[in-house]
Amino acid sequence: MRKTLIAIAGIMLSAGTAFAAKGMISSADYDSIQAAIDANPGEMVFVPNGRHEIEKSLMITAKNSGLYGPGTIVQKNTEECLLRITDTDGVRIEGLTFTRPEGATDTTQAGIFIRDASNITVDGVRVIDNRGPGGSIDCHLTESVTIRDCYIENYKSLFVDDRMEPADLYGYAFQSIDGTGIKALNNNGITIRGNRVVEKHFIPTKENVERLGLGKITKVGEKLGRLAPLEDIKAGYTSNWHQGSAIVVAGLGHARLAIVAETMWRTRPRASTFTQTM
Amino acid sequence: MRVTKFAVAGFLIAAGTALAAKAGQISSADYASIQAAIDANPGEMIFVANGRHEIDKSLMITTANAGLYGPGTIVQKNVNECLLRIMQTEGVRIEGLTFTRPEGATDTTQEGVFIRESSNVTLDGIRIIDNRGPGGSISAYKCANLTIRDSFIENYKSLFIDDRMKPEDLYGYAFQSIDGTGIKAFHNTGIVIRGNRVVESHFIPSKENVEKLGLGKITKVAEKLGRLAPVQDIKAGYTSNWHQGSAIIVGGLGHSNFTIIAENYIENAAQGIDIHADNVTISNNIVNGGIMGMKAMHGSRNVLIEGNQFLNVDLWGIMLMPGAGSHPARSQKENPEKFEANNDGGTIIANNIISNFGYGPQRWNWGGKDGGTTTQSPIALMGGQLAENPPLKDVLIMGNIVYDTGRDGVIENGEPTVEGPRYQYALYVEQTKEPKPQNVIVRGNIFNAGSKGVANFELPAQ
Repeated sequence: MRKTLIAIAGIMLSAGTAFAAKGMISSADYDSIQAAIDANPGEMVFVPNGRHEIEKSLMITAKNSGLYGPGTIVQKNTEECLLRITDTDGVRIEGLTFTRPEGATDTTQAGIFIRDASNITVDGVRVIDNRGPGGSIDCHLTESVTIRDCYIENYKSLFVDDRMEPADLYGYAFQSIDGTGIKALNNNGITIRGNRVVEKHFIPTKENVERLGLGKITKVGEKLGRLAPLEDIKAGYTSNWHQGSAIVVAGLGHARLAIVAETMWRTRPRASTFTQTM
Repeated sequence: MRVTKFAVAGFLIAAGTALAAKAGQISSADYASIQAAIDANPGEMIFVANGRHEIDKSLMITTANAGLYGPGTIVQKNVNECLLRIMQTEGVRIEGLTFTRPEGATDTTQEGVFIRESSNVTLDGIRIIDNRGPGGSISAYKCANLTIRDSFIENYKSLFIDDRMKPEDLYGYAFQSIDGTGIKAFHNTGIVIRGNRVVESHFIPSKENVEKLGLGKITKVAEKLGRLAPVQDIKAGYTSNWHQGSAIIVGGLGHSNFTIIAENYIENAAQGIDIHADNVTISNNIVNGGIMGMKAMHGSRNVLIEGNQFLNVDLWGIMLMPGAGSHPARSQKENPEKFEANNDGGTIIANNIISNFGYGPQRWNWGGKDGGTTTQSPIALMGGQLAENPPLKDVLIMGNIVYDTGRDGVIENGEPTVEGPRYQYALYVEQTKEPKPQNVIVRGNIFNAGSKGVANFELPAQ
């Protein structure tokens, strides 16, 4: 009996060692992905297969930490980002899929939001159905960020484009479709390479525009600004209803050294193009 | 004691399960086969562990967002099966695996990784070694938004009878060839081929190998030859055109568009990059060794050829030509399959370097110290193959260098020898044979003169 127990202990020990030799820190070993991140500052955390629902944004603030693996993060809360990387350095996010579920896709929040951080790499990540002007991936006040080989699908949503301010220039608002794939404002040394940014959901057809009331002027200032389109405002319609960019790099005087390369963007629905080629 | 044994077994099983579940990784090691793991986990990424995993049926993925990743090697023992098929699905990812065929079973008419009628598929950092044959180490057919990146393809060529008995009106013969394709993409839209290496180290196109294998031997001749059949070759029983295939080919006559081919390294190809497609960007690639660096024909419109290096090629560096497959826009009723315009041009050739021209492995077959034939040129713009082909038009050639490497001295028998250029003209643009190129603008290039001059026509000062 004693021998048996020793044998069991031996087997368990060797099995445990063999497993530990994998050296993998997996979020499956913690209550949540956030708990895994918090318990392992500075480490890469494996996110296994499956849909991992969250309702608060994931948050990474420790240097050289990161997430990798085949898992899918599903953000149920439209008031929260998918992931925030702030005030840190050397974080890597690799291979994960981030999405929002049906019925909760439209958001004013960013998807992956990187702020006041440096040397961040987002590699082979998919951001699907983070729809809104916040940006599926949004970088703000960062240095040396790389966004490569990522896939962004469906980033546009209905949005009132409010140009009431600055009053001296505009002074009106209108119904628009707005959305940004990759947004980079006030960053230095950003590389955006080999990504695909595709919108399949919103197609800018005449029918869709009529159905959604796009271009309708919704608010007008008492005094119009210098750049306000007077004729449009009189007519109650502006043709400028399709806003946003697949990739925007800006920051009026504070954005430098950007490389945008080999990015393929598509606005045509893949399905219909696909059918045509069959 | 028996109770103890059961308890031990139960405990161990529970521990085992707990361990597997702990990491949360779905590993093929937990299933009877990789295919069983795929089938049991639709829509999931499966980890393929280290080791050689033998298969004799092609792996098959048909569910959306599924995939394979890991350091494992898949070994396909059956030459009549693909390595992996990804069919009628989307979002599939294959990352990091090695695929191969074992010695003695490398030659195949099947594809390696075959992706068909799928969208958003990504192959990333995979290796395909010894999938030898014309099917393609990676082949994509009727796909949308496909990415093939950072992958390595080695040895993709095999002995093959190139059967041109059809179409009878054009050809009508067959011959012994070496054929093989690294990456083959037909009828796709939105494909990115980036950062790959496509290398052939098994078949070397030496004279000895050609004689040993009977390459070029005409094996079949039709009673009546077609318009493009090489009559003299057929009489002689030998054609020098025995090296077929491409490292990368993007085609599908009129149904292939939005392609990026960038940062690839290609070595010892027959044809480096072969394009029969529209809206193609070919940038920052290196093609080292081959019959030709790249060609675009059979209706390739709006091709941007920029920042590439083509070296050690013997027939053409860059060749544009309206091939037999090109045609103008025409009645859909009369041509239900091919009605949209499929012509060549609207193309930019900029900032490329072509060097070591004529120093490739097939100089003995295609060239000679006199520079071969007139059209054998670092940059060649040709007339139509058929009189009815629309002409190649609107080509901008600027900022390129054709560099005559022989001037710097090559080492022969241990001593430097200054060699004459191994081409007649740095730039050849067809001037007489209709339909000939139209609106070709040439500016700001450095073209080292060939044995007969810089170009076969009056070229304005560069």
